[in-house]
Amino acid sequence: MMMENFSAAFALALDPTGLAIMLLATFLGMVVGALPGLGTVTALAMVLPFTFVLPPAYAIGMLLAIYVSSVFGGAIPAVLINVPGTPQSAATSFEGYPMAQQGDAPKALGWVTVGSTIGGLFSAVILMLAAPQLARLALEFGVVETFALIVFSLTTIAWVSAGNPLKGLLAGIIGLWLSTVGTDEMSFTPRYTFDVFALTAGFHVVPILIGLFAVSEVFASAGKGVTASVQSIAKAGFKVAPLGEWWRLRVTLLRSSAIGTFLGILPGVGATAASLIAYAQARAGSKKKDSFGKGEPEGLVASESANNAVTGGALVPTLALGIPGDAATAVMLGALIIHGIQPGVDLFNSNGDLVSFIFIALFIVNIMMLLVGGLTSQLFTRILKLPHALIMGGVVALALAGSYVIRASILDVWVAVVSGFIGLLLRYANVPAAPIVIGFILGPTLESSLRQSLILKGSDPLRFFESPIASVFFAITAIVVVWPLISRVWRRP
Amino acid sequence: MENPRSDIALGAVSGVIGLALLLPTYRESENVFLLPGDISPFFAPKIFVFAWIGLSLAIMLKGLVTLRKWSGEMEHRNWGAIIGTFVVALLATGLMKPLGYLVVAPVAVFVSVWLIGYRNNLVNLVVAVTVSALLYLMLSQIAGLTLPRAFWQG
Repeated sequence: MMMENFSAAFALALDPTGLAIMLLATFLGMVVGALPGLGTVTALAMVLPFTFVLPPAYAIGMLLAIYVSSVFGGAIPAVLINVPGTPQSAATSFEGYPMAQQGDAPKALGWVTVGSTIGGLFSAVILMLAAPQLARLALEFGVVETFALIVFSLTTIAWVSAGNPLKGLLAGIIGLWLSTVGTDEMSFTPRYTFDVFALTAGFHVVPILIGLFAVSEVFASAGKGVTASVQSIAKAGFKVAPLGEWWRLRVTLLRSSAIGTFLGILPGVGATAASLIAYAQARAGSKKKDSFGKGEPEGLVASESANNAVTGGALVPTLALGIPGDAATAVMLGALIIHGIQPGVDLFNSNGDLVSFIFIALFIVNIMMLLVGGLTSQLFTRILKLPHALIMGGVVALALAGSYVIRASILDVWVAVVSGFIGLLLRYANVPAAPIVIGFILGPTLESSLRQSLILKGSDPLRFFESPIASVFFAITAIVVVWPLISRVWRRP
Repeated sequence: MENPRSDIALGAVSGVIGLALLLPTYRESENVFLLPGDISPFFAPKIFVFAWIGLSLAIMLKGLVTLRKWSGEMEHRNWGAIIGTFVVALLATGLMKPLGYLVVAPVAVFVSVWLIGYRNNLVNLVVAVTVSALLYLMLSQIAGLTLPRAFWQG
């Protein structure tokens, strides 16, 4: 059965149209990732409307390519102009830029590209091995356990994704509330529609995403008054180091890939933390500690293999449990649901072909990233010179079109624009946008599992603790929330 | 250290919104008929709204407590350009249906880019028209998705 799934998935993955879409998306993802201020979630949000006309497999392939390559793309400006395209590549600039300043930008891009590919492939293997096991474990989950799992994930994501946990939680709650607007699916009761017919269908995730991540960036750029293009930029190229030098870094590569994959599986930690931790580990364990900060390849590959390894890791709970680990996988989850695919146990049982396709596609896009990265690296010297204001103009045109085409509703464009402005205010107040999206996407499942659990347990929430799995999740949630407070009190003199 | 003034403002505004949401939550839930043992469709929204208010209050209180210790400066932002871009986006949204995407998008792009600070008007115009037309072509003509048609297209 498994082999049948794989052969069908291979046929799907090697389809020329699908490959062409993935190739184009890989380049597009790299470009968007390389443009500072946009990032992975914006890239995914902007292409999501284009996937509506594609068959599910092509759409998933396209989104996977954007996801993986945009994480990598952030490393290119980190090396060439010392400005990471995405926060995930912050540690890359510590070594990449000094190397570029020494005239070794092509070599730095070689380390970064191959390191990212190795991290991505490592995490794809772990995804292939771990996701089916986790999905099998999830067979034990009823509505109470599902509710407890979502509470745990959402709390953890909100708690760890911001400097101030209260703001992360508030963002998560806003997302949950937004998901309740419209007709309630269980009782068909309209909620918060304020007699506006268009609101009975509720909000769609795409305009919220476009607003919070793309439109808010346009407003933020206006606030900063970006005018000048980048003047000082190293000449890009692509040069892979000899095999012997890679062999010397094998332990760092393996350790960083493992760190990235593991942290990717955990909710809320994300690629930024993974790359910084892997970089710190590489530095601590290196024989060349003094050369760190001066263009040490070991630091480069540690950071890049870790942040790209997060991609496969974060897909493990997304596919197996339907619980996204970060905003990017939340968008992937939303895209799957839009295409009529419900991640979780059922996906593995009823749609084995598609699951196998996702595994294979992840391998393919990582290899494509290596090829496209190698072949197009010289283009980035020009791309990074594009005036930021003009790029924002493109975002405006895409935002207007992208938010309208989903349901051919002007309400969705209003939602994108207004959430863009709210997103800007929240950004200025240091409230993270990611928990809003995750709360919005997980909201319907959280609510239905809560209501069904209460009906099942005779409206007594204390009976939720009759389930050992749910009790464990509630206990971990409590520890996650209380631990930082306890440790703060502990540290006080 | 975060700016406590923005925390106070965030907590206050968000708290007021939360309180405003309580009213429809209770008013609408009164009209719902429930069978014995059934859970109201407003049960979860009530929890969310109360958590929203509680967290807003906590953020505001934290801001008030740390206000004295704070000695940072407010970051300078060009609010004129921000509001200008927002108004352009609102106008573009309002006019997109009657005038069509092909008319509204290039103007919105051009003015937004200008407001952001780019002053090469010729390049700006070419980019605004080309990007909008390409997107329209890709989404509407090739992908077959619906975009508001220009008034001359009927």
